[in-house]
Amino acid sequence: MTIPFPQIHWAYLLPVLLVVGGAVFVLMWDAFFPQRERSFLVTLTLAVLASALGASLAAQPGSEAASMGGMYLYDGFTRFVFALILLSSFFSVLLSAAQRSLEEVPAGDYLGLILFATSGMMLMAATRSLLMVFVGLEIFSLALYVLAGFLRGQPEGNEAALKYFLLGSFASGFLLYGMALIFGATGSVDLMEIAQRLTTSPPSRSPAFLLGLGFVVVGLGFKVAAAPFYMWTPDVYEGSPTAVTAFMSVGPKVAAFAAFFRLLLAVGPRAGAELDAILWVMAVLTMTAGNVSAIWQSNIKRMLAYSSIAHAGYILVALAAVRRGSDLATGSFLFYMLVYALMNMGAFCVVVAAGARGEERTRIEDYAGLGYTRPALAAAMALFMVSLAGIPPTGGFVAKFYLFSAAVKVGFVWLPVIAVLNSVVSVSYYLRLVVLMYMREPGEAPARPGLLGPGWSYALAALVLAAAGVLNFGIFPSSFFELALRSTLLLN
Amino acid sequence: MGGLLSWIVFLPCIGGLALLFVGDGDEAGRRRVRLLALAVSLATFALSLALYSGFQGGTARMQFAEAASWMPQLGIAYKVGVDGLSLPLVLLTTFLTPIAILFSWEDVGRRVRLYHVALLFLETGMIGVFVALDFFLFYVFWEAMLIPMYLIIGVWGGPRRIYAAVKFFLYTMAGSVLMLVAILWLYFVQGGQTFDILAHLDRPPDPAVQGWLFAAFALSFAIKVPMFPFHTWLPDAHVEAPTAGSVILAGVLLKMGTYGFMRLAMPLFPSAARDFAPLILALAVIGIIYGALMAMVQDDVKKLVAYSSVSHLGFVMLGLFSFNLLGVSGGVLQMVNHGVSTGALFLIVGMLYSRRHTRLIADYGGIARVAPALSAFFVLTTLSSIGLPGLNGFVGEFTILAGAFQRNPAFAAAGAAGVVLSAIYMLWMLQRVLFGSRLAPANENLPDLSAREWAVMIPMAFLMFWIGLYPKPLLEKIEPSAQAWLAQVGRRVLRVEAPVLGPPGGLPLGRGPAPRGVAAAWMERLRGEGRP
Repeated sequence: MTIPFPQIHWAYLLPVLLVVGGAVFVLMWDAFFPQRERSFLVTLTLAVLASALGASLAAQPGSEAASMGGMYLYDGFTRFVFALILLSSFFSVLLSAAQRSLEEVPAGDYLGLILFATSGMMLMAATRSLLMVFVGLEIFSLALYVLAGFLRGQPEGNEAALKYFLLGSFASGFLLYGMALIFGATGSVDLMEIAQRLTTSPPSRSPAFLLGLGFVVVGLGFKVAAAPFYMWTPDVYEGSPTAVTAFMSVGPKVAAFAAFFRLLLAVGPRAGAELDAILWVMAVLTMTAGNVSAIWQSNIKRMLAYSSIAHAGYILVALAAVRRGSDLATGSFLFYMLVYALMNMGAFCVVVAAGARGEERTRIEDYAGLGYTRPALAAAMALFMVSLAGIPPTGGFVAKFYLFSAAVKVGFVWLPVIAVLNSVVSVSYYLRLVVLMYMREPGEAPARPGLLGPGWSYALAALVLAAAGVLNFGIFPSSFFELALRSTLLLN
Repeated sequence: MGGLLSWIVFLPCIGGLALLFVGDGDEAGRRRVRLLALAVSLATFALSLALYSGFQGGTARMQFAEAASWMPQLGIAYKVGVDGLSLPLVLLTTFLTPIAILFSWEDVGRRVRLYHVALLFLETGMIGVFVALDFFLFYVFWEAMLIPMYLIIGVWGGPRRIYAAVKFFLYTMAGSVLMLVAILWLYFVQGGQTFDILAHLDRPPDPAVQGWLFAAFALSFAIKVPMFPFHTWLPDAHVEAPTAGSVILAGVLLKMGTYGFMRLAMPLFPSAARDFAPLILALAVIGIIYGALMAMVQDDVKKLVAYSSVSHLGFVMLGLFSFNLLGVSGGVLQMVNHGVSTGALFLIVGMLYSRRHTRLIADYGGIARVAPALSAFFVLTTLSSIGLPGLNGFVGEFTILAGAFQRNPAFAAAGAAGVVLSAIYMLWMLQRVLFGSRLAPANENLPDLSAREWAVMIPMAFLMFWIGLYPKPLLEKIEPSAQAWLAQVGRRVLRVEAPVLGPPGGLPLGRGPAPRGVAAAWMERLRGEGRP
């Protein structure tokens, strides 16, 4: 008996290999040359991420998309999702370098963990196999549990890490159990084969399969922070270092949603209308819970946590549309994630840049009068808030427009109506920040000069990149939307 | 690159961006900011005058139309154009903005640069709404314009400015998001896969669904107008906004609501418009009376003017939903008139406020003796607002009432009562502020108009007389479009309703052959007015 050697497309694997290799290198370098300048490692990490991005953009997905029997799948969707994940990691590294409370941490450990988490996200998004989804999820989750509590001296950080770890493990259990049930019902962990079994032998749509699917939805719902599995989000977001929070609010969501999309595209059309109702209710609950809770927050990180929950709710609208076979849904999801990554990262970057050594500006009240003490920073924040609220001419509006178009196209009417009403609710808390920044006089503000840490150039780079992107996608979204639409052609 | 219309739309925006690079740290810098903003807005006004003179009367076509590809995946394009319905509003916008900037010269001393940037961005948004011929573009301008207005109220407003600004924003936004879903529905379900407004005008949706779509559009416009009972944001916003903000708000923003009814809601869904007409007419009349009664009991001048807006905009709605030529052209004219007279009223209230820092009527009295020029303009503006013949208000109101009478005498009678009420509250206010024997000691040294205030008021007064005495050139440009509009809305209405209606004798008042003749006769007479 011969064991066939699985087919491997090295060019397609290159982005992941670069990130993993970079992680190992950064970790080792710090172990052997700990006295070197921190900025060297930061630059190196940024270079690794940029080269991985370059490699994934250069690798044109062809017809031979699957490596290793579908364990690793490189199609247009993967390529776009890779770009999103790498972009969010790039931003997180910039933010980490700018954040003053992270100046003392061992850079090699920290940056290595970010790179490992990135590789896990990439693997989770680039596979047809449920097992690989789980492995990728665990890789990035473990890294994030550590990152959440990276500032060991802070009790909030410890609380966040422990909470995230306990609840996250619990959710992983659900996910794995669900996968086992699906395997038991269909005899495969490969999404393509599962889809085939479902078509050819209807009995495999047994209660066990549906139960398994439900468990998988719970597990993924936890990772994307969908209602009712979002309870961990505000505490973890509040307690983690801001740069890590920014990373958590984008990267894992992209990866988990990507896996969710692949699952729904494969089994969705055959799984029956139960899924429709579940997604509908989840979407409505998630966006409403996120938006309504965000109104009452006094901590900006908690507010942004609830806002990210609300955005997950909007994206669930696209998932519901995918199940009904909307051809716009996947493209609009990708575009939405792109804009969301920029505006959310931008907002967190302002939080980082507004902070000082030892005292972060996390209370919303701290932003009173920022428009006059630090006009550029406040203008950027206002732009990101307007975009998050979905008001033109920003990317947030166009992204929402595409997303709701996808839903209306397949006959949803109430879902987009509820979603747009939700975005009115969201205006009230996003604009509260604008009110504070521009319509209140600054408090007994301490002297501002000398506030910027040595990492100010990283913060500036992140802010400029995010603001330019948000405006560009608001006014000239066409070419990137075209790209997002074309990135869905090679799925499965 | 770019036609005249695009320049008019985007010049203020470009100017606003340029202003961001002018420092306003010292007095010289603030002066530079003001001068530059004024220059940009005057240049825009000059361009719009070129638009006016190049605009051909006698046709209902979209003129100065431009089109460019924008988001081809969804059939979204950059399409703009003007016709007789939008031209007066574009001119009104470009006319009022330099006035607002000039008035703010001494009125706004804080954050001068941000203020003028917001004002110029606002101008782009407002003009954009009036000229957009693509749903997406329309919606972008419609929403984007909220932010600068929100800042103007919230940063430079009165004591309760934050409450007023947030209320303004949430009300308008809540109204308009449903329109977005209706637009998407039109695009995907109605078919055609285009966001082109003109293309949709030729294909009205199935009457069964028109009601929903009309309701979604009408809600957002009704909040903007504002129609009773959606008006509660208006007094707050008007009272708290700085004077220039109130001028723009009353002068232009409210017209975006009525314009939306005229350009989108009614012609797109004619049979629904017809079905909703009794309700909207009733609300319009309630608004006229209610606004007038509320104005009557105010002791704050600015609030009084704000409520008078509710009343006057009710007239516009009454005209539009009369579905006849008199009503429609009166409605368009009244939009301009209201912009001019109420804008001028707010300017005068602002002048009084900047002198005495109070808006309470009781704090004034006998002002005419110390400030004769200011009082003269106040009297003139008031008379124009209540529709004295020979001034602008008369032409609009009278035409609307004539149109409403053709449709339903009861509504016209109620509207006419509103005219009487408006005369009562305005004149009563005038008497308490300007005349009377008692002159409070604090008012004894009230200065009269400064040169800058003269410069602000003279163009306003000129417009009042011009429209009042010689409306012909303006009416000539409005009329063909109004006629075409009427043909579109009216014909559809008749066709859709034809099976329901009985024999011709059973036609409701105002749609038989005779009223057409009356309308034409009135138009003749109106156009003849002022002829030597």
